[in-house]
Amino acid sequence: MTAQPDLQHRRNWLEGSKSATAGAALPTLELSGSLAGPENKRLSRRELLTYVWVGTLAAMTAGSGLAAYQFLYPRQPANVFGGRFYLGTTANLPPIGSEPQHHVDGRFWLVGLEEGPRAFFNLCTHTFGTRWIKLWWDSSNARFDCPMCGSRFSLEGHYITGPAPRSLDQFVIEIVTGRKVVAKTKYVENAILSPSIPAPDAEIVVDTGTMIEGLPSMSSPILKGYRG
Amino acid sequence: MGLQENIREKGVLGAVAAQADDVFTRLTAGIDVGEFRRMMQGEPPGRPNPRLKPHSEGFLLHIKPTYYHESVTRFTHTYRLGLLSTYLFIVETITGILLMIWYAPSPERAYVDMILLLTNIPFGQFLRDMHRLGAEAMVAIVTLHMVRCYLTGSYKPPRQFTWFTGVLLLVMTLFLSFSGYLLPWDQLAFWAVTIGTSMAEAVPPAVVGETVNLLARGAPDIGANGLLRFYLLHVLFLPLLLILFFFVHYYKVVHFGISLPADEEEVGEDTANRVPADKRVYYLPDVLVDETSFLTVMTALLIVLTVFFFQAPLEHIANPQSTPLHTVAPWYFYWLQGLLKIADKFIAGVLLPGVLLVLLMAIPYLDYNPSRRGKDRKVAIVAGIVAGAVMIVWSWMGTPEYAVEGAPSVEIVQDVMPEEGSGLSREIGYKHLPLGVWRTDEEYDVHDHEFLELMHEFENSVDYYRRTDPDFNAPIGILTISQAQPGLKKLHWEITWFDAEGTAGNYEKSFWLHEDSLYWEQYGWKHLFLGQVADGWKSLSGALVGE
Repeated sequence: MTAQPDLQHRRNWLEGSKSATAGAALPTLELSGSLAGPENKRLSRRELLTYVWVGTLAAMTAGSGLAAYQFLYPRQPANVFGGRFYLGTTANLPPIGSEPQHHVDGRFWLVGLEEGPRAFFNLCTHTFGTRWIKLWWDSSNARFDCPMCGSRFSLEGHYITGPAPRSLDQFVIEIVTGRKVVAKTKYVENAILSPSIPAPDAEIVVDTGTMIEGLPSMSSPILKGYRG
Repeated sequence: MGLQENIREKGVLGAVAAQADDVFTRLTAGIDVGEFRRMMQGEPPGRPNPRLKPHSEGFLLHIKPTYYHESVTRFTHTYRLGLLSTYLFIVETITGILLMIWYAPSPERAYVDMILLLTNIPFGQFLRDMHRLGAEAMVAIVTLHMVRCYLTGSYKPPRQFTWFTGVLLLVMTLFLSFSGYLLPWDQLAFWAVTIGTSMAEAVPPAVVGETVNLLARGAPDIGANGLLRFYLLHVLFLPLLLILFFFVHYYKVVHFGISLPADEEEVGEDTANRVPADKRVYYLPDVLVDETSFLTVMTALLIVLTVFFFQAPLEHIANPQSTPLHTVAPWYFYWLQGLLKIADKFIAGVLLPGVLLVLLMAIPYLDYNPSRRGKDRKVAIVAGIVAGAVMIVWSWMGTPEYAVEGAPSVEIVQDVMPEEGSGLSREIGYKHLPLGVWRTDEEYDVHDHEFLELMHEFENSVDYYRRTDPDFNAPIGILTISQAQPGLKKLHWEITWFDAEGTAGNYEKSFWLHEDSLYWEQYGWKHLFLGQVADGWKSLSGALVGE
């Protein structure tokens, strides 16, 4: 180095007087070819520290990226499709065997059954994802009809006939007492279980963000009934 | 050279390494891996200096000087205040754009969006706090930058125009900060901006003032149109204008170079651009590493301050029918508010600020003293200090301390529990407010330090007005804390007194405080710094009087 004394002093200070400590315990960074770089192949302390803080900076930037992702991610408000629908106490449920309640905003049919309440997604499983065809409720035959493909489903959501590959899809129903979820719709080996209702003053919440796919058409109990 | 040939000559690894080196060199606009490592190791550059290439070939560095004079790279010469101002502008841009995602500038939505941002969005409160802190810091840093340039005489030839654009940038910074004030649509925003824009009304003749105001507010008073106009000023017009003038300013800075310390050159000379070879500090890598590490530390500091010590205020939703007690302009306009209290609206609100602004911009053209040395500039420096002191006095006059005094009873309650903002009773928080009736004329055996501090402040405040106001005799303050709802306490303040003629007076005011209120953050801030200063002062004064 041919710099003047004051500049030399400044450089030495920045480098932590390189000559005294030059890489005594630091690893050698050996690279071949044109990556070989400087004559001094040892990683100097200054070089190492620079890499460390630049690495920290990169990690910090990545962290901010993650935070930005969380910040940007859409919030799901309640009572809007995709979020939770708060429907009041379970006394508001449709009586067992009665007509299903159509919740247009939530895009589901709420049904009261012997085994417990169910919330069926109002889309035909045949056209789901392609045409978004809404189901009709045929009250004279007590069944859901697809106006496009002609598939039919029972009040319990079971497949009856038509090209649909599955029985109706359903949303998870949560039964809440005092801010605590005590029961919810569950999928267990080839069956979807309704939540049990502990007391009539429990709150009923339909989570339209969590869908359980209907069972395959061929396993529909109605078909089994025909076969049997 | 073709790929096959390359591999034949260097082997697969060698060819890949050569390719990687090539990509690296393209990305850095001219620095290969070997040169990069030599820079990192602190090796001097070869001749000709290969590290100048990114300046001439790359876009990002073309505006930066290739080297600086060693003397101007000293931290204490510039304190990096210009760099810091630019950095804060970038912080404001990033946090601002992110905040825009969850904000709609309409009176129906703005405040609700604020609440949503603070309660339901990850990092929402953090970004808002940082944006606010950055804005206040930017005003302060830009001002300090100007003070530094004034004290070192850096506005003198040939840098007069640089100073001029700098003053324009200061004004834009103030307006940027101020135009953002209205956006949360809370009481603070609404009334601070009402004060600010009503100043424009004083422009004579009356029809011009009114027109200016109408154009700014989009209606006779601030409403949906005003909010939209301020929003567009804040996010689009002023930032673009500031960016334009930033480049004018920075071009001038680079063109003339940073002025050297005054005693390093002859009076009347400017040698900033004639740097002897042995005094050169190259931007790559020395200054770059210096600036980046400085800004990294500043970022860390900003994050720590934002997370632990700063909370952007959010008051109640804007209510055009009710002006809160002690409404103030932003702190950097306190001096204007102070002036408005003592002088006519036209003189204090238009004429004097206008004259001051023109004077500030004209300083380099008025100051004919060629010397930048402190000992030759006694008049200028004393004048600067006097101007600063006057600004501080005017600013103090702008605070509610000066000439805004309500009735004693109102002031006492405002002191411990203001209508807007926090106040000690909110700061100590829900759990430090025991249920019961607490009177200032009784002693309590309570072991809650925070609550005792509140009662002590309450007593002091009552006692202060008893001593100073002849119409406020034998006062008693009563605080009744009751449980209004689960998780919600009601604080009922009652003050009774007798006036000079012996007639009894009575004042009552109620507030509610929720369990989850977050005012304690401000309490923590106050205690960490002011509290320790106060404790230190107490123990010192105690030792002096021999307690």
